Amino acid sequence: MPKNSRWLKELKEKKEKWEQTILAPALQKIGPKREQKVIGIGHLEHPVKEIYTPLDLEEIGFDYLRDVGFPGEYPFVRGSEPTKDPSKPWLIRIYAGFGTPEESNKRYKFLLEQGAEEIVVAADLPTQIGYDPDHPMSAGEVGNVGVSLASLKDMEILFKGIPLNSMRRVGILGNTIGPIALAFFIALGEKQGLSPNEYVVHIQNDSLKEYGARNTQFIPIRDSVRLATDVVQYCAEKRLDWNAINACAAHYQVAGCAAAHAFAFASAITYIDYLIEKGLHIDEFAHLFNLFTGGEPTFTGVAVIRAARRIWARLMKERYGAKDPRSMAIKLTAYTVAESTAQQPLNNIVRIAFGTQTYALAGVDYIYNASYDEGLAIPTEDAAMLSLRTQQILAWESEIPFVIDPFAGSYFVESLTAKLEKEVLHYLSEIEEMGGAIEAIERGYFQRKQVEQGLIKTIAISTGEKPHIGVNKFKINESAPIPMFRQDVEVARKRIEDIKALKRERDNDKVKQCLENIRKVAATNENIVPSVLDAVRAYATLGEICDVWRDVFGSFEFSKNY
Amino acid sequence: MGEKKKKILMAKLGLDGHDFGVKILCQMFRNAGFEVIYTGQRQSPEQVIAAAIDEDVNVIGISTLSGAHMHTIPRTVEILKKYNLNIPIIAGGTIPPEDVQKLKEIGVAEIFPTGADVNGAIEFIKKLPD
Repeated sequence: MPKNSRWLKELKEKKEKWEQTILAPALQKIGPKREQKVIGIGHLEHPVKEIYTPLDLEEIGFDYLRDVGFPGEYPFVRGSEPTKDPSKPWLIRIYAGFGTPEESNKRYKFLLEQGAEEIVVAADLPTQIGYDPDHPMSAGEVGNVGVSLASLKDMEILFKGIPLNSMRRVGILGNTIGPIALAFFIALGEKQGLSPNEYVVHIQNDSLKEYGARNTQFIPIRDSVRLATDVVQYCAEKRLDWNAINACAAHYQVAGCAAAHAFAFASAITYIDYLIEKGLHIDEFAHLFNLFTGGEPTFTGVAVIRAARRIWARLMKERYGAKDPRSMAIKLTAYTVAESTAQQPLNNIVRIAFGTQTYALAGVDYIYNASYDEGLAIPTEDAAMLSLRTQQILAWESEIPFVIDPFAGSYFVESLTAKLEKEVLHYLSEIEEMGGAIEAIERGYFQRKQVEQGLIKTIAISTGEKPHIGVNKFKINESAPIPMFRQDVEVARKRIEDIKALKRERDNDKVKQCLENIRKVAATNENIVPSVLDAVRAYATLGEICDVWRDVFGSFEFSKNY
Repeated sequence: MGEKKKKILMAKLGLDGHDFGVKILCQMFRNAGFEVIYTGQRQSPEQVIAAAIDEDVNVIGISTLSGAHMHTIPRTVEILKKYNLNIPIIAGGTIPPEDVQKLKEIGVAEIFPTGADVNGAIEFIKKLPD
């Protein structure tokens, strides 16, 4: 492309002439036009122009080789791999679980038959917060938002007839119970006669996200980061090429927070610094990280992912001195719920399809999408199947996977990529000035930013400034309810009996020894995972292990933090 | 016209941690001229009621997303009744239609399920007795 100054000058003159003689009269016919600012969720400070030209690339000093390069090469903007297998353009995941392990097992078998390639276990809140179903704090919550899991026994039932190596991968959130989640899968693999090298586990394990937004934390923040990084260290040392940890932006994005990726990078930096402190070299573990994104419309979604890949690559190379390309090429997981509404829920099918398309266009490695009824209840079987079909149609009927990073070089998308990169780095530097992610969370910065930025979107919708179909535009009398999933009310009672039975059948002396050992290890700097794995193998419960942690580390105190 | 500011206690009960919605509501209620106190997460019904008495609020607003509403809200109502406390409760979030009816029957003043208009809640609070 000729980029000499004479050519640019001519382009600028011609563009100005076009604006004055062609565009202006056309705009006059339309009448006063609202300034289009709302591009992306929360990224309100980026007004969008009518058109983009090579002048915009000039403005950002665009240099293809330096800023974009080739897929599978630094700075990995076009993706971590040189190309993709057209039969597997991304990995089709689904987040699922409810009630008892028996009920969820049935659902998993159904979803796998329908072509899910990875089950991401959705656990209920007691499980996520380290309480067994018989704990008083669990009352009313057992099996509600996910499956109730308390021991290896439950994992055996959950994956009965589903060998871990029969899926491309298997995942779980486990953000504040990372070591137990890891141990559950290793011990389950052993029960199924598999060595850990025969299957792949993806644990979200981002404990900071819980303190910053999601609130399943139960021990002090620094101890939780230690446990999360113990998981990464364990995987690194055992050479398990799993996803040991995710830096999560998605939860913050869905809230409408423009600083979301800065939070994710700040969290990743904290984990990395802990791991280096443990004596590991960046190239031993950086490839175990994954970036979790989701919740933006098309152009912002694509641009922020391209920006994130570049930020990660430069961070690894420049700050941490990584040499291994695997360390610099971040893999991405995307989730889309796509501003779903309770009103006219069938509209969510369309929203989620467009949301999924965004991540297909961005070439992310792993995708999962919500079901259209997910804002109202646990998805029905049909709704969950439709989520899978949405991905499958995009993967195998659309042209999207044919070309890697098709937006590269677009005047608009490259310009937006550069702007969003700058925005992420701006928020990241604010966090680093406070001392990092932990300090920023302790000072309420993550929490405040979400509300400040999320409020802008909420108000824009409530005033009608931001159109939301079925909410502030094209409202109808909602007369035809969609089929809703109903929970079995006996779940809690059954689960309490399960725990009683387990405690009768297992070797309780062995369990006691194992728990004592966790207590000892927790008080040192040693990696917690081997001791937790032994306890899980002996059928110690999740609640018993977490009680030891609460004892040793103390309980997290919730305060009136807003 | 010298009208006293309505005071509302916004609460999250049990293990339900998704509190972005409740925080946004707090701001929108403040913008509407109410005085708003947020309990923070993982509160018991007892803690919420104690805070409501301490702060002398006009109404308790419960945000619930995790499906535990048929456990947490009736318990809160029960304790209020036990001590003859006359503080109205409103609730919002993921509450299916059949539960809306049941909760109203046990004495919850109004329910605003997911998708309800925030202005409806604002109007409702404005009309509460001082």
